[in-house]
Amino acid sequence: MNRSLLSALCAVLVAVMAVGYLSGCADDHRSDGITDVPEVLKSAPASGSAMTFDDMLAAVAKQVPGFGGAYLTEDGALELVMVDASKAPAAESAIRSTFDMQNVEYSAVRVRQGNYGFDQLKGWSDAVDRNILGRDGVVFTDIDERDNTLRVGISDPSIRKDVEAAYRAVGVPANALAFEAAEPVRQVATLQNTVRPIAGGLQIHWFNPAGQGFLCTLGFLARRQGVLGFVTNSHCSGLQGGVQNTQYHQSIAAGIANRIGLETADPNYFVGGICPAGKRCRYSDAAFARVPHPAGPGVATAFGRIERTAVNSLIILGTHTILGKQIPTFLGELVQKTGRTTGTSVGRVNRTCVNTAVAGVNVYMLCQATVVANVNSGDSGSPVYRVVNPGVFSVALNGILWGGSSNPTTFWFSTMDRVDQELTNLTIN
Amino acid sequence: MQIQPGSRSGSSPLWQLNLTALFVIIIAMSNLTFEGCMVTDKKASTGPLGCTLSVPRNVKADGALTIRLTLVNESTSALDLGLQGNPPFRFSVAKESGESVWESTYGEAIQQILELRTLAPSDSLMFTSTWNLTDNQGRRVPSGSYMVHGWVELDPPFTARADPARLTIE
Repeated sequence: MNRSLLSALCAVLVAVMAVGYLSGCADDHRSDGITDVPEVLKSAPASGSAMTFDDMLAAVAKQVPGFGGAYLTEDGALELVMVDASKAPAAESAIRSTFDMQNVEYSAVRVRQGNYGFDQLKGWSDAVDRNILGRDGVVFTDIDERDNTLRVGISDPSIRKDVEAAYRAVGVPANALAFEAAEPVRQVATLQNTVRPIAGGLQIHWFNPAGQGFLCTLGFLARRQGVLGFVTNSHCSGLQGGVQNTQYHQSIAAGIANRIGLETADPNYFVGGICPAGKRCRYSDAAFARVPHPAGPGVATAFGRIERTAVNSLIILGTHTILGKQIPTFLGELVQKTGRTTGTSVGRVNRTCVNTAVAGVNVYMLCQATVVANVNSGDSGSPVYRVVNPGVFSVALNGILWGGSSNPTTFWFSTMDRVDQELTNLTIN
Repeated sequence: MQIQPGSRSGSSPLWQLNLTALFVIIIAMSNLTFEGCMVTDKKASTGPLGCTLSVPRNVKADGALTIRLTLVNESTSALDLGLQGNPPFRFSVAKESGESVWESTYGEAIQQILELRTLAPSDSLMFTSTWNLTDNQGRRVPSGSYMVHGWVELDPPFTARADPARLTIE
């Protein structure tokens, strides 16, 4: 191949690459799968330094003045926010050299007009009085690399003026500052986590006399003859019926660190009378454990409270307040339960005062109620309750869940009148 | 109905991690299907568990049938299992057509307890039940060919299901 032909081919190749780049069709950036990340992908710094993501964007802006930000669009393109669009290729190159981009794919590069360099925004952000930003009511502060602004999330509108003043004091123009309403951020906990103070609906862990571990749900806190404790199922104790001094942990045993209580009441099952031959009977599957265990540790409690989650969710959003005992429970009543396995489920009472055979044991439960609602193993002990006032999350307690159908679309619970009778006059609120 | 450990169970379970997450990780890493046992959730059919359903081929119509389901850890790592409900196992019998005849927990409420059990490598659990050859309504079933099914409900959503066994009632 002669030199002039080779030169021509190189020129053609360069031209094709340039056209491909400007049209957003650079093959080495095309991905087969579009990422579904609508915001900037957080990739690790190439050098492994302690720089934050914003530090690195500012570093790009130092290399390419007027670079205002970069993010991935919903259709998988890399969009560059630029004060001067002609510097976009340099900005992309600086991004690729600053970040470890080997796992970042984009289908095209696009440019949007910005007003400020990212380093300028960061300088203002760093200069703002931290005392203002740490105030209650300021939920988050962000250098928004898409909108090319300093963004502040506030939960209390009344503090906006003070926050604006703090930013103006360091020279931030009005069009570089944006506010949005934000909910305070809470740490996410689930019914299966270790949660303090303890309340109804949380996971409990215990061992039978053979040393086998089991999970159930803490039903509700109560005072029994003046002693603080909680109610769970009788079958969620060492043996069903009778006290074996079962120790309870929330959420999982870790030495004694998570120990919350000691079984102190679990009435014996009776035989004869109305109880079928060969079976043992009771009217409630309920046992009481005192809190804390006499040998400690101390336990914070939320007396009169049940953990609140969304339906079918385990994530704790807050608590319900128990107003009292719901006696009686009527057929057709709409009730809820909150348990460690299926969270909160809702359904109507479809049977009352049912005498029920129990699988796997020689126990027969008398006068139980059933609800058509979601349940699964681990939900034993769940509080069953009626929502009295949804606006303030107040509830009345119908009873304690203990069983489910094999599907499982129906749960069984012992009603509060029988729980109260067998465990002797509980105070629950 | 009884549960018999095939050998001594493992030591105290290691419960620093959520059980469900640990089991999902184990299932995902094993990526093996063992003949005779399907460990399923609604999406996958993999698992390190072996399970065997033991049923006599024939039984007299006036007799009774002992059904055994054995769950074995066929991996080289200890398995932390959640056994769902009391009892955690189910047996059922169906006609060759698939029409259900008998279920071991039919008409009974199941205690919603979750048992935590660690199976060491090669360790096993055995579940046993006796069927008195009556249907769910208590009537003697006619002679003929039937399919016996057995499974163990594990920490939701997993189930360990053995291959069904054919039974002839004479």
